[in-house]
Amino acid sequence: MKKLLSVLLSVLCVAWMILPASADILPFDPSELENEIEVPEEIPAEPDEEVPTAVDPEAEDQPLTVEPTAERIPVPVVILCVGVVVIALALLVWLIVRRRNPKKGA
Amino acid sequence: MLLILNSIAHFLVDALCAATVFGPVRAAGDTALLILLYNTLAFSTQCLVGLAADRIRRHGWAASCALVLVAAGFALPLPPVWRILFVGCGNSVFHVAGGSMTLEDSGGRAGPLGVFVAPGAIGVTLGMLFPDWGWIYAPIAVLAAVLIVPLSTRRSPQSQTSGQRAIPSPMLPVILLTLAVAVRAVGGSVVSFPWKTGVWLSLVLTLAVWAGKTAGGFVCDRLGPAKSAIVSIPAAALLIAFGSAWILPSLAGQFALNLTMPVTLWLLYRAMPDAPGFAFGLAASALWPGTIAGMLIPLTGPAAWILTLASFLFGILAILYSSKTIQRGEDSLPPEKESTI
Repeated sequence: MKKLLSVLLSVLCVAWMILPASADILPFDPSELENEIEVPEEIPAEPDEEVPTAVDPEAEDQPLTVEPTAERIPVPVVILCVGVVVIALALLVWLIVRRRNPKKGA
Repeated sequence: MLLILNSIAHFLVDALCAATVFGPVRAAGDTALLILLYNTLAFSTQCLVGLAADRIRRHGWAASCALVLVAAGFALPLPPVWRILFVGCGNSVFHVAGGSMTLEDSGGRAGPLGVFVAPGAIGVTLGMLFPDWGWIYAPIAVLAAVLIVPLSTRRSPQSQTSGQRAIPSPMLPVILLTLAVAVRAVGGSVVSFPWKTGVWLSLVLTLAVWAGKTAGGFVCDRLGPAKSAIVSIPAAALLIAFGSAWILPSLAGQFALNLTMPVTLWLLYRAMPDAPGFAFGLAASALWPGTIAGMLIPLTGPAAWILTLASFLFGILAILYSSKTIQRGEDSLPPEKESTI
C-alpha cells in the first residue's frame, strides 16, 4: 500500500514539473478572476507581440481567453438555463399530476 | 362578450407593461437587467402559473387582479424593481387566466384563440412607442378588471371544465410543440428588418403580426392544423429568410409566420384539454429561452438563412406529427355518454 502511494506521489510530482501550465489547472479561485480580467486592458495591443493560437496548448489558459468566457456566461445564459429548467420541471409536475388523475377533465 | 373584453384587456396589459418598461423604468437609468428580469417574470413563470391556474380555476378573478397589478405597476410611484415585479407578475397571470378562459370557451375552435392573442402585439408596440399613453390605458384597465369578474362567473360550468377528454399519451406532441415554439423564436430572433426605421413602419409591421394571429385561428378552423401549417410555414420561411430586406415580403412573411401561432397553441390545448392554463403557459414559457438563444447566436447572411429555414422546417414537422398523433389519440377514445365533443 505504501509502495503504491509513493509511486502515485512520484507520478504526481513528475507530472507537476512536466506540465507547463500546471498552476492554471488548479481549482479555479473566483477572487483571481477580476485580476485576470483586468490584465488584457493593461496590455497594449502591439502587433509584434506573439498572438496565442488555438493550436498552442498554453494559449487556452491565457487571460485573453478567460475574459470573453467570463463576460459571456452572465445573465442571459443563466436566464436561458433557468427558463429551460423551469419548463422541464413544470412538464414533470404536469405529467405526475396527470398520471395520478388520468380522468381529470373528462 | 367575454372574448372581446379579454382581447381588449390583453391589449391593455401588454401596452401598460411596455409603457412601464420604456417609460418610468427606462427614465430611472440602466434598464438592460430590468428588461431581462421583466421578460423572465412575464414569460418563464407562465407554465408554473398555468399549473396553479388549472388547479384553482378562478380565471376571472385572476385576470382581474392581474389587470389591477399591471395598472398599479405603471401608475404608482414605485422604485423600478418593484414596477418590474408588478408588471411582470401581472402580465404572466393575466395571459394564463385570459388564455384559459378563451380556450375553455372556444368550443373546440381555434378562432377565438387567435382573436385573444393578436391584440397583444399592438399593445407592446404602442406601449414602447408612446409610454405616456399608459395614463390612458391604466384607468381603462381597472374598468376592465371590474367588468371581467361578473362576466366570467356567468360562464357555463361545462366550459369551465372543458368539454374535451385527455388523449392517452400526449407527451411527445407536447414536447415537440413546445420545442417548435422555442425554435421558431430562435429563427425569428436571427432575422432583422433594416427597413423598419420609423414609427409608421413599426406600426405597419405590427399590424401584419396582428392580422396573421387573428386570421390563424380561423384558417385553422377552416383547413385544419396540418393544412394550415403547410400553407403558411414554407411561405413564411422563404419570405422571411430571403425577403426581410424589403417591406412587402417582410409583411407577407410576418403575416404567414403568425398564422401558425394560434395553430400551435390550439394543438397544445388539444393535447392536454384538461389543462388549458398549462397549455397556454407552456407555449409562452418556451418563447423566452428561444428568444435568448437567438440573441446569443450572432449569425448573418447564409448562416442566418439556414438557421431560419431549419427552425421553420422543424416547426412544420412538429405540427404535422402532433396533429396526426393527437387526432389518432382522440379517435382512439371510447365513446362516452353525454359527450360534448
